[in-house]
Amino acid sequence: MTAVLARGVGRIYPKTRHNPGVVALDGVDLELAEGEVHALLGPNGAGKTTLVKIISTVLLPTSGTVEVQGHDVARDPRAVRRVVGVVFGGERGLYTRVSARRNLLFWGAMYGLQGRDLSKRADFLLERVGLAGRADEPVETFSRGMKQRLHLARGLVHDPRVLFLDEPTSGMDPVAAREFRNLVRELQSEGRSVLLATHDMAEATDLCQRVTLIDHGKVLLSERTAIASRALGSQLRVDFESDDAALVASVRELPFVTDVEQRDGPAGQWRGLPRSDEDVRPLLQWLVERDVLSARRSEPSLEEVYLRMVGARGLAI
Amino acid sequence: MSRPAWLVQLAAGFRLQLAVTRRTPAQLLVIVTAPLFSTIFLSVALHYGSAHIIDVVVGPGLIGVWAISLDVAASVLSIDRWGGQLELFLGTSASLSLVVLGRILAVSAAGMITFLESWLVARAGFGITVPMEHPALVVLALLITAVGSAFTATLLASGFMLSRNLHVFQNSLSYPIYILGGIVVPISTLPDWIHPISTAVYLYWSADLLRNAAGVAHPDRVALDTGMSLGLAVAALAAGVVLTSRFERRLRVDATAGYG
Repeated sequence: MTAVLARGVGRIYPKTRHNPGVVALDGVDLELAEGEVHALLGPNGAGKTTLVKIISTVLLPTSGTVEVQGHDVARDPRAVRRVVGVVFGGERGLYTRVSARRNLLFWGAMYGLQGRDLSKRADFLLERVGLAGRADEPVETFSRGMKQRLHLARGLVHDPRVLFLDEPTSGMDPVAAREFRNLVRELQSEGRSVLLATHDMAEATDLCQRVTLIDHGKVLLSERTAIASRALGSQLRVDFESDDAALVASVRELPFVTDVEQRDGPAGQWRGLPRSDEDVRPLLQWLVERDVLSARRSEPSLEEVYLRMVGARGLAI
Repeated sequence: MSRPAWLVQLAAGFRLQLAVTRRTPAQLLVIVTAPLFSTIFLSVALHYGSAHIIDVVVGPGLIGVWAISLDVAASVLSIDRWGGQLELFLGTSASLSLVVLGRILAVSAAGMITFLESWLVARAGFGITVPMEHPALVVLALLITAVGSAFTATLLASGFMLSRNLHVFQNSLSYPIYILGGIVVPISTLPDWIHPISTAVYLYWSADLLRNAAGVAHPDRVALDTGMSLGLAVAALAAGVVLTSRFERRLRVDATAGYG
């Protein structure tokens, strides 16, 4: 069974006195397979959060249909809510004046848990996310990473099979973000499906089997992460290191090379762009014959795919 | 044995608010100011030789319970909306009105302390002892008052969310209600045309119930007071449930559950 199946989802925020009205989603299709971690990428205002809210029944779609484990979000929202957990990023959604345990007990009750079952579930989750030792302290005393782990525990309180994580590692330090990603992997190993809205390309590459890129409310790309770069067409390149300016100039003159560009990082890092994928081999051979043993084939990163498809819009939204 | 879902949600809201209030004592500021109101009211009443001393003792208690309930009713959904909890709540199947009611009940119950304070101020500060002919009836009257306050405030909680100036509405629902409820000055001193309006205000009946339950006015009216207090409170709660349900629907349609 598909965990989430969205077809032609549209969402228009109506014009009001304070808002000119906007099309947030325009015919979005999305499929989240069972047991998959799926990245939802896109710039601010692209429609990611709107889509997550619709799938989790917080918001009604203007058009289209969404099914979560076979339940329609508009016709059978109660069934959807039983199988879906939502995790926001940052402090939003937590009662920061009260303890982590009280937060979990409250939200567990909202999902129909009670009594000893609820207490045990809260204890289990606090242990699992590493907060058992601080369970009775006010959340406002927690670090960002701890709050995020509590968010995850909150989202898991009713043991959902499908999880939506909305920029969960935003603002976390690298160690905390890594710990969080490990938790997501554990959840996947338990068979849960995860839809991860993120701006972090490294995170998406690291965690997700599939990526969907949306912008201006439309899907630009939905592909397996490993081959997402194919969306850019023939894009194999050859990365190499050399301090020899004459050699780099020679590479640039080769008939099967369109250009050589300097890569980010230390000086002497170069990227040769072959005319076609078939020209990768001769270029590698040419470099090796001249003792450039660092030469290797590379593909565009997810970040490059993102930048090419979304475009360089600077700070514009 | 599992408890019904409505009770679980009500209790969860109650416990959450107790925990929040413990860390936000300013929510109970009324408990600090109530003795001052009692002192002022009693001083004025005694100076002018008022025959309504029981009203003056009961008044600050009712003001305390209503003020504290109104304050939480006005802020609870607004704070949750800003904090992102309201959006997450819409992702559950729980009843928003039940949770709000549970939260307001928690502070209404705490607000009952103001009655004790008022009684102590009268006794210790002015040597006035309010007779308690029927203590059990007084306790029942206090419970009905707390529940009535919470039910009525639940109706207002979702109404407040429709306004961008909720504190203006909050303020306008404090003193006018005290006046209409006859807890600042006796209703008999107000123009006749106000009287029918007063009878639609639950505080009017709660105040009467407390006076009569104490056995100092018309004990035979206790049944009527109880019925009217509870009737108005239940009607307010029913309207609150309907209004909150429509409010939730509107949040989902208009995408106004959060600001994030």
